[in-house]
Amino acid sequence: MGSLISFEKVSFSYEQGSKRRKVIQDLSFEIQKGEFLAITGPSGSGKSTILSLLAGLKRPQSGKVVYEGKSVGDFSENELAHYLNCEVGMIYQFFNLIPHLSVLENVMLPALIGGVSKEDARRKALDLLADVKLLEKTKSKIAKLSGGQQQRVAIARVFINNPKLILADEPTGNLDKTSTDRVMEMLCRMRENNGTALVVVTHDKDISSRADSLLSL
Amino acid sequence: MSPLFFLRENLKLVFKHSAIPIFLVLATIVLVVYSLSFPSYLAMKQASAQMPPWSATVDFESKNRSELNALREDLSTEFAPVEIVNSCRTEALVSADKRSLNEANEAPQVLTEALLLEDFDKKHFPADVYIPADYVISGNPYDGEGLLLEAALAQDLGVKAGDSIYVGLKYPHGSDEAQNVLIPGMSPDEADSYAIDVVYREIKVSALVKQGSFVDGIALLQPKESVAALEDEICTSVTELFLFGPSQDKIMNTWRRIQHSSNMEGVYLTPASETYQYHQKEFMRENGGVKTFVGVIIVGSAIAFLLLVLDGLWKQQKLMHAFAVLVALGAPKKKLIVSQVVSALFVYGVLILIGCFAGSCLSRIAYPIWIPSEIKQMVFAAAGLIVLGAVLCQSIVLALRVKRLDIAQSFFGETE
Repeated sequence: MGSLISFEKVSFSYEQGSKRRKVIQDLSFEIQKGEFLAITGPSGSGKSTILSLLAGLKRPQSGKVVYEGKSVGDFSENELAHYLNCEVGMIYQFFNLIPHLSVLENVMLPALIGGVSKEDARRKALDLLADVKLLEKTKSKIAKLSGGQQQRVAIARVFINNPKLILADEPTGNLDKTSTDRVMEMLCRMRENNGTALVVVTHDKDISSRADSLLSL
Repeated sequence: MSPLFFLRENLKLVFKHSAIPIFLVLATIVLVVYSLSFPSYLAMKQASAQMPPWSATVDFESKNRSELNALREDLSTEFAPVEIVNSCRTEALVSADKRSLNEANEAPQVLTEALLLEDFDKKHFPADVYIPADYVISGNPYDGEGLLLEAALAQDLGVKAGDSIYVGLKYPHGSDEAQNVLIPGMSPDEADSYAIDVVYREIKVSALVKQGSFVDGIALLQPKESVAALEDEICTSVTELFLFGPSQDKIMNTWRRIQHSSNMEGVYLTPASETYQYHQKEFMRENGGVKTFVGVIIVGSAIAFLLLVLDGLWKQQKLMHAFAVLVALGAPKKKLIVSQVVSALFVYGVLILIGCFAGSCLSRIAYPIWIPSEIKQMVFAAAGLIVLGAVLCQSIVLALRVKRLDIAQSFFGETE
């Protein structure tokens, strides 16, 4: 396996009034293609910041985040948009689906943004919804789904453009045990099928125990 | 995908929260009706007061009532849609005259006090009044006819029906009529050197005539003349038709065609002076409403503008989450902004267009007047500018919001 994305002596700090508080200092690590990395640590230790840096949503104050040989911090706006659309997928604790749209439309969104034709996007979205066992809910509005179902929609959405890296921020933090198991089973199965690298920020030891590697902060 | 997405979402919001859009459409209708109709109405009055562009008067030198009615019918058929209206002056003259004339014929003859007589004239011409020939509308005392005089002169004379006056009628110096004037005790050469070209005779004031608020008149006719004769006399003298049409061109064309029509000899055109005075007064009165009009339009437009901006910002707020999700999914920010701006422009454009269309239709009912296309263009351009301005404001706010949009903070809930 080759390196997909790496942190090279990355430091990041937040402003708190007149002071700066460092949350990450000279952090270096590598994520291989298809690797499952779990990040754990107490609140405020910088877990979500690492995800933001990996997604290119924040730029490190020193050091570099390198994706396939190119510094993410140097991406232009269009390159970053392409990166977020095609290379990286994100799963959030609170799902962040668009409530006015149907399940199918939510799943199709990244493909449509990426310029895929509506028919192709629809076909692929239906396949993914079948994978997450939500085929019967394709026309339902998001608000009518349970938390577990919404997260499965988010998982289907994240895979539609076959990203090489999935970043998940406490994806089961808002779910009960049954839903957690189901969501993680689906996420891991689909990741393996697609050969996608997965970075999960979690407090859940069961989830971190499934990971190939663990980053404790 | 983005424009359609935002368009759909904006339309959904319009239908879901329709209070502001409905108010906006209603406000647009009111504004359009008012801003189309009032300037047009005022412009019509103003134009009428200056030189009526769409009305004209046709005077006939030799037409009596029956001929006039027949002519009016012919013209109405031939020159539609130009409206041809009988002069109310003629109608009123005659109707007022009947009673006066009857009274005058029964009243004893009394001489009035001389008003304009000067010493020299008294010596040679013992007339009570000297009247410039120009003031005579009809008649020639030299030929033994009665006279029809202008109103102002009748008032100056202070005569009333039944009075009998000696009238000295002055002809222009050197005219044919003046050459034939015989002055008692003077040769024609001597008379000419006095530059007095007068015919005088005793004439009974047969009737005072009055026409609405426009024209007063005095008829100085020989006794024994009948009402019917007077009617014909007046019709022959002052017959006129008013033409009203949708445009100056149409009126002018009708004018020319009447002039060149072979069977309508004796037709000539004059400015509609009474119409002019009437419209001028009306215009002066209506002109007072301009400030109110401007105030209403400015305040109304400002309210419409603010509503558009506030509604747009509210919609943005509603769509901001979707906006952030789309950015996180890789949609370019600039494209999203353009999509939102285009869809907002479309939605507001449609709303305003509905308002403009309905307002335009209603204005025809509210004020059935001809609205110049320039005013229409101006009103629609103003409506377009308001929409563009409001959407521009929204775009600036949206661009600032997007610039400050922190996806990491929004979605990862970072507070570190």
